[in-house]
Amino acid sequence: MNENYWDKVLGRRVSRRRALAATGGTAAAAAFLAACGGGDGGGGTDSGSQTGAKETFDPTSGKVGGKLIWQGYGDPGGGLELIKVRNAGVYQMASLTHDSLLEFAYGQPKYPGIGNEVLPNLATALPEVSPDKLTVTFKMRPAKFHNGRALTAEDAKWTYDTLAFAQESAYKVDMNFLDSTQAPDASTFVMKLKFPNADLLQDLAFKNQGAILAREHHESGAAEKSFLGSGPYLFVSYEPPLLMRYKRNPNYDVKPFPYFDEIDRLGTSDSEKKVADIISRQVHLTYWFPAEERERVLAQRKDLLVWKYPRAGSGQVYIRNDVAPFNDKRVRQALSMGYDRKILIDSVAAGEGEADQALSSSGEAWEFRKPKDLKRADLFQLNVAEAKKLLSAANVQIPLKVTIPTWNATVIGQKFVDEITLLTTQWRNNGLVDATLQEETFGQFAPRFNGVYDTMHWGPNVTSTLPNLGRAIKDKYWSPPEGVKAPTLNICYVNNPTLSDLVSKQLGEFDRQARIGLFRQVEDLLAEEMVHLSGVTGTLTYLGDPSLKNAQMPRDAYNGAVSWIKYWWFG
Amino acid sequence: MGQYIVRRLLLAIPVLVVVSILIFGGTRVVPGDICFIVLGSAEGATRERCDDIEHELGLDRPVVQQYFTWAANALQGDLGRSMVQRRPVLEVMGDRIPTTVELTLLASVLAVVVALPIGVYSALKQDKLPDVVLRVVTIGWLSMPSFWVGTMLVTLPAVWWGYATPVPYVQFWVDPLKNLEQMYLPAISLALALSATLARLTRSSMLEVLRQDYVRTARAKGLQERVVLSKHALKNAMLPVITLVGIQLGFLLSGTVVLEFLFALPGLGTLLIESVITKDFAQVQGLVLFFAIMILLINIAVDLSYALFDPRVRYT
Repeated sequence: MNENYWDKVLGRRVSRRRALAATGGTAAAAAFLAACGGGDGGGGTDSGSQTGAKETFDPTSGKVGGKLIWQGYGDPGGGLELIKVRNAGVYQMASLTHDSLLEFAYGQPKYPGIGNEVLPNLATALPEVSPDKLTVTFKMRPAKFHNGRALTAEDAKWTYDTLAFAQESAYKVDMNFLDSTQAPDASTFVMKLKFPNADLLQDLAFKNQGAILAREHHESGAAEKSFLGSGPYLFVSYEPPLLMRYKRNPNYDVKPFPYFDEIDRLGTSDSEKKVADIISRQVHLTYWFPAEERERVLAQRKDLLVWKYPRAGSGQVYIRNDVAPFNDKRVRQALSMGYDRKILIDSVAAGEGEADQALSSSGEAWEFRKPKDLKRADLFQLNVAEAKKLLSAANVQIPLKVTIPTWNATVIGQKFVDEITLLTTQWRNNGLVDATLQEETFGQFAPRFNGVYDTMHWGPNVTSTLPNLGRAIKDKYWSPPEGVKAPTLNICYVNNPTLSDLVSKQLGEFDRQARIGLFRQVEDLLAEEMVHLSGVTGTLTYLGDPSLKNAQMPRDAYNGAVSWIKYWWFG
Repeated sequence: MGQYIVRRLLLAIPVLVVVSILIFGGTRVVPGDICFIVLGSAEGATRERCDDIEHELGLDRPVVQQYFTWAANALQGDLGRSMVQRRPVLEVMGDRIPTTVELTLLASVLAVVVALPIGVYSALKQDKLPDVVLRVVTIGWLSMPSFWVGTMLVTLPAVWWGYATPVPYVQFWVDPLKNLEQMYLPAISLALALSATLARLTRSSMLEVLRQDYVRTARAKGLQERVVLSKHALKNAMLPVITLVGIQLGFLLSGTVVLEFLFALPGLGTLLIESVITKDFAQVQGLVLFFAIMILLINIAVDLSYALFDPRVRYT
């Protein structure tokens, strides 16, 4: 039989030596190509893309139609019962189906993407406030729940009474400013406060303190599995963990809104999938990306709308100020001078951040300062010699041995863990602290939020992301006369009467300049005392499909209501 | 055969009891407080409210009593309530089972379809160039962890071609084509390592069978090679392969955990990750028990299938 060339080649016996040599050669060639192959490199630079969509639109001139596919963050779990579940994600989802008395302005390009300006929503105007700041009166516009029933002041009363006083409410602490409510007529709603609250309007516009609820929906138990509000979108379905569906409310009382016919909110968790989805045009609107992922996406999609913002440091080293040796401020100051923040900025924030201080840079509305502008700016600089001097003066043997619980990467990503890893590595290399990181899941870590830990932990910066900072700042630093005891939100166990006085005063100060002055004093005191150590800031970027019009994703979108999506449309 | 099945099922009971005790105890030993998870944050977590929640969930009773209550309910089909989802555990799992079963089956079928021809061809061309190439390739597949393959299959098509599997997920019966488009990349990720193992086992098994006297006799009788392979050799070579497929099905089930998360598929794997992270131990218990039952049943089915391939195998 005649054999052709391929029969001979394929039929030839291959010796083991030859096979190994061929495999080794192929592997070496592949490694060579991989090592020498070029990429763009680059990262950490702003690709020249715009920040904020500054094209101006008449919000009433939009076109109805289309389905918005919006990539939120992962499913928050916990069900949909808004009274019992205290969860940013659930309220973000509910803000399309529920209206509130007030809403934040920052979701439209004619307003800045960072800020705390509020606009009336169910209220016809901003409320009247009594001279003693303790009585707040709203006039409400006509509105209907999605089941057709009229929404009145009685519903506002029921909502706030339930959130503030009901046994099962997860919001009693948030509503601790509320004394009582009244609904003297169908369109008048009155709140009586226990103490003046300078952030009241922001509180009421915020994710979990604004949505007006339908009593019958919650009392029937249906609220565990569905939303029913008076908002621009109707709830269609919830398919945890990945999908919530909405459709346009044709009977929405505020015309001509909304514009999108449908919205699918995706709860994709994996960052690679999120990047792939926006590159492949599967989604119109993303969750926020850090610098490296942003650049990867923009390298493929230069047409995207870009909303890039500075963000506060995600983590802080919380320290038990009541436990030796950390009850000596010299020890805390020394720890702050024991690491170089630039290293963290370069590796964790891709060079796009700065050192952060206790009152984080997210307080632009209150002109919070950078560490270099504080009286004790020196405490934010690396100075190992000075740190050792302070520790020696405090009679502390170095290296200190501590265990530091931290969220693991499954909670908010690897960068969060990397930051504390780099910080503690520097401490170790500088001979100051020998720290063991104890990575924990979200569930395991939860008690730390109430001050349950031994000496230190690396936790999220809970005051960094809030447009209503005043109460959070008070909760974090105020101590009762008898001292702080667990469970507490003053998780550094700071017992400082001067600080307590300042943080209480700022919450009742309605004069803006005076309040800024109080915050300045708080900043300097917190720096001097170094009650906790702050990480570094960075940037966060939302990306949007160019077909979105009158759209602006504000910085606080991931942690707040998204009701302003009703003003957007496809062009 | 009936007696054999009953016997195997009865033997599975003590295994399930041990598994349930281990998982029940394990979830309670792990630190963390369910109260904060249920409430969603620390601000509302007063001692009073946490006590109410613990009482509501039965967590204030002794652990042994909790176990027996749970076990008694489980025997009646009630696996409890997910503390995070606030729905019955079985109901939550029921929503997700089809996705995971579909992914596992697709991966298995893909693995077998790819592996058998490779294994047979490799055996027929023993020590020749095709055999060497295929062996190297299968070693390469075996070396690549499925989570890495999955990550590459998410990232590289997006970067090179602007392609990603469509979102959001749709069930097969809603839109079969879109569903398969969402499933094929995760199925490939999952199938790769399994197909490599199967291919190599098929090759060895075929080589052993091809050396048997009856195969030589079949060739000597003048039968066509494809008849020798399909009727005489392949059937006998399949027994160890079936065993491996059965064993690997169990691993495939657990292998879906990472890939479902990566490809945003709402299956049991994603549910397990969420439940572990949030310390929803009712859900974790239900899931682990489900996986244990599935693996036991699969193994029984694998044993029973031997009788189909080998008439000498009889069960009493």
